[in-house]
Amino acid sequence: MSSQHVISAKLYTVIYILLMVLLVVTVGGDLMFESAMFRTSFALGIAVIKALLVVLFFMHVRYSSRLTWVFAGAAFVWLFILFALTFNDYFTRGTAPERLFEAPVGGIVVRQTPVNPEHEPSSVMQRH
Amino acid sequence: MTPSQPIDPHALDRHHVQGLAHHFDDMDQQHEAATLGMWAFLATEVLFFGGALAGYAVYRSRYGDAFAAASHHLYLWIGVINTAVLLTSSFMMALAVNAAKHGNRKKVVTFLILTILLGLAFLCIKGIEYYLDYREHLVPGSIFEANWHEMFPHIDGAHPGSMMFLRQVQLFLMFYYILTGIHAVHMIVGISVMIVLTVKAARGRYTAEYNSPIDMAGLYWHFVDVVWIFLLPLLYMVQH
Amino acid sequence: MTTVPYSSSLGRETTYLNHSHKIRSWLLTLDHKRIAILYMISITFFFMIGGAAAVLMRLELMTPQGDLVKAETYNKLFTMHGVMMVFFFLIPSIPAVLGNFLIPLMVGAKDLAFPRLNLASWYLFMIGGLFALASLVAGGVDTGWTFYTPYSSTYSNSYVVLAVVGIFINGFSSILTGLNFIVTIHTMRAPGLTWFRLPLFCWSLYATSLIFILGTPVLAITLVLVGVERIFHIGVFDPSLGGDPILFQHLFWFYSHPAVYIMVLPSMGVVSEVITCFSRKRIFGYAFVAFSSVAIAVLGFLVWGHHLFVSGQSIYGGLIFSILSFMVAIPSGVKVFNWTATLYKGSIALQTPMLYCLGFIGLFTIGGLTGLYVASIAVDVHVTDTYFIIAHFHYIMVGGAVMAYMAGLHFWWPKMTGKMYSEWMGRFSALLIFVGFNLTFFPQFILGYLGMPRRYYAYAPEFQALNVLSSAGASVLGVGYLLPLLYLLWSLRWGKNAGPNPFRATGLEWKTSSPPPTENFEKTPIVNEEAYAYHRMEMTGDTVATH
Repeated sequence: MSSQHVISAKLYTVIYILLMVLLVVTVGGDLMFESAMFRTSFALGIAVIKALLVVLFFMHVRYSSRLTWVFAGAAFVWLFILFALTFNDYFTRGTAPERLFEAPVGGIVVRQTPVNPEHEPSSVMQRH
Repeated sequence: MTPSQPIDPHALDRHHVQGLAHHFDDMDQQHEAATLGMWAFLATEVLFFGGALAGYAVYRSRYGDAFAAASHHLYLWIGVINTAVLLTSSFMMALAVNAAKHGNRKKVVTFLILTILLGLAFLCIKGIEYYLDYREHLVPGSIFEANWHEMFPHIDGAHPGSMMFLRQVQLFLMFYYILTGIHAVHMIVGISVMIVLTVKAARGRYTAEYNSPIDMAGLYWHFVDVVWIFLLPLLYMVQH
Repeated sequence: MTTVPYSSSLGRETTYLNHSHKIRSWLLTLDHKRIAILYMISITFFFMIGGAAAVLMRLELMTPQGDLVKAETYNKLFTMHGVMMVFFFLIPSIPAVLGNFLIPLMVGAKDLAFPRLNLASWYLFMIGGLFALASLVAGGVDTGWTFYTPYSSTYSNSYVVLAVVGIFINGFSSILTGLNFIVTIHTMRAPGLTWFRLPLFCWSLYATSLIFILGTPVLAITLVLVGVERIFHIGVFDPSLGGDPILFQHLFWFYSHPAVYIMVLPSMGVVSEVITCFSRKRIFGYAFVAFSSVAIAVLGFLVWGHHLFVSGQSIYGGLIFSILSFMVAIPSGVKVFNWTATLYKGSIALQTPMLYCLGFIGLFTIGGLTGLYVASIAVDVHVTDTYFIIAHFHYIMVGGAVMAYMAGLHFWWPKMTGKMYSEWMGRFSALLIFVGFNLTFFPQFILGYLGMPRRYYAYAPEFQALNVLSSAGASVLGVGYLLPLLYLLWSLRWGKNAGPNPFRATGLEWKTSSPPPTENFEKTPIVNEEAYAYHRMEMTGDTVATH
């Protein structure tokens, strides 16, 4: 069909060899590097490159219409939304403002009228 | 007003152009629809795996030590071999698509069969790995609870934090089985589809003009490959 | 597909309805119109089950004591009501019935892009429905439609897995429907039908489909995790086993909040169609209405955390979600404003679909504005899990989505069946539904604000008067829903022939015969004007615009 771009077998082979090399590099990095943080980012970085190669060439997105780009991209934008807003919660758990409202009794915020105003702490922060 | 159609419009169109469904105007429109549909479906798949990955990420960010310790008990080398097998399978699929675009029936069938065989090899290796994991008691639940001493001899069971640690290890294992499990289910679906396509290709159903099904199966197969590309570092190479 | 035979009866056209009467020709049909009818029958069935559960609940709540049913039974009733109404009625209602029927007609295509997937989606829907029904027959589920963990995954002694499997399968039915709509709208528009000439119904269903394909899979995997936790006793969400129950709520609402927009976006599409037709005016601000649909779909994904204000989510997280939730009000407000502006100086005809639409606008506005109350954290802490929430979302889902479904059903019924229903009966039941609805749910705002908690079968005696009002309203509402069922069925046999365009509406679906032939159009239509060109139609007196 005229409208479709046909990728040559030669290009596929080049991409395949690249992918295999990257696989070896991932394993090598995992065995070689000391820093755990670095090893994790290294392995994930390589995974992203490998995935990009597969998506762009094996799945011929590089030669596809803008619409395909949009849909392929949308999936990752939505994945980002899921991660970003979920971690927006997890990374801020237990930070200062939350303490202010922390419930003293059984996880339920209980508002009590002070029995003895002199002994009632001025702020919930002082409660135990 | 509306004259009744004496002839089935579907039957009419099938004779018209091979592989063109009656409700499309031409091959280009049909191919465009198929491609867009596949990509929309793959977007769905990204979020299907994404939901599980979000859960994985939350727990890994909290229980890094346990996740790393558990990950080190998996067989990295099997994971790597399987990655190579799957990448090769994907490569074969790419070649099958290429051959289909050139209308080379024999090559299409050959490459599809190779793709399927490599896919099956992946599943076999995965099965063996599951068995080895099972033998090592790397199964969350009672099996793990009864045998964790063998895997983590340095853990003091009496220490109050150790129970939490062991539960976190099981949480990792659970994600390991769920993620690899749904990946394997996708492999099985893909292989089934490709068996059908191979038979149809052998019967000459696909031509240089009409090969969308092979193209679409290819997209799906490469996507399954991409998922695995991420599972390898996420499951087998957890560091802390 | 079966072959199209010659029309057997003299002088009758061959339509999608009468080209074959065999059961097989229905169950194996690939025709989007027939699949729409299959969906219509199925969701009516599920609506009646969900409705029956609601009737029992309202009966129980007539008195403060728990006297009609046991507490456990009551829990199962509201779960079944929620599951049936949300997953098996509201979500498929407008998209799978009206969308399925109309999208190919509106874009001038012969069918949806993937007819086989379309049929598969109906079968998946039915299989999912059977699982949900099986859980009901086996003994019911008592977790609420939200399946909150760890109750659902560890402690509940009811048939959670069956229900969850049903919803999981049903999810794929939604995904396939969404996929089909997106591809059809992108690739199968008739010549000349540019994006900005599309009926707004198509825009809103396009936006809905985005939610279908991007949200549903997350619910699916979440339910898989619940099932795994329940079957294998592994603590994904159980805090005693190291899991985090709030993670479930995050994942669940990532889909289930946008699901609210799945219900209301198609409704907005229906309203745009009906309101222009019965005001004889073009829509005010086409592009704003179109893009606000997409904006609602996208923003709808950013607000799920407002369901977690009291769940133990971080305060910062809550603040962000609260701000984002307020933003959804902007595109929603744009729509209400534009519909109202469309009415302005229009020649308004208060026919049945229009009555439903006007009802929608008012009730949706109340539902939307109370949504702003509960998007503010402080108010939400006060009213969480009270009847205020129940009233708020019923104003959106029943006052909004069901009203619009009724509007759409009455608007396109002549197109789908070729028959006219009794206009007076239509108006009467529209009024009945409006009155019954407000009588049912407005007292619940007050009850909730006074502190009556939801999901209890007994309540404090001082709440009785308002609860009796609500139950009385529910019975009026019930009659209001039964009447259309009767007179619409009646119209099939005794209704007058509708003709191609009884409401003198624009849009390609009105340019073919009613009911349409199997292939929709004799020849592919060509579009050379904007949507809703009522001003032109009024000037030329052109009732059935020709192409």
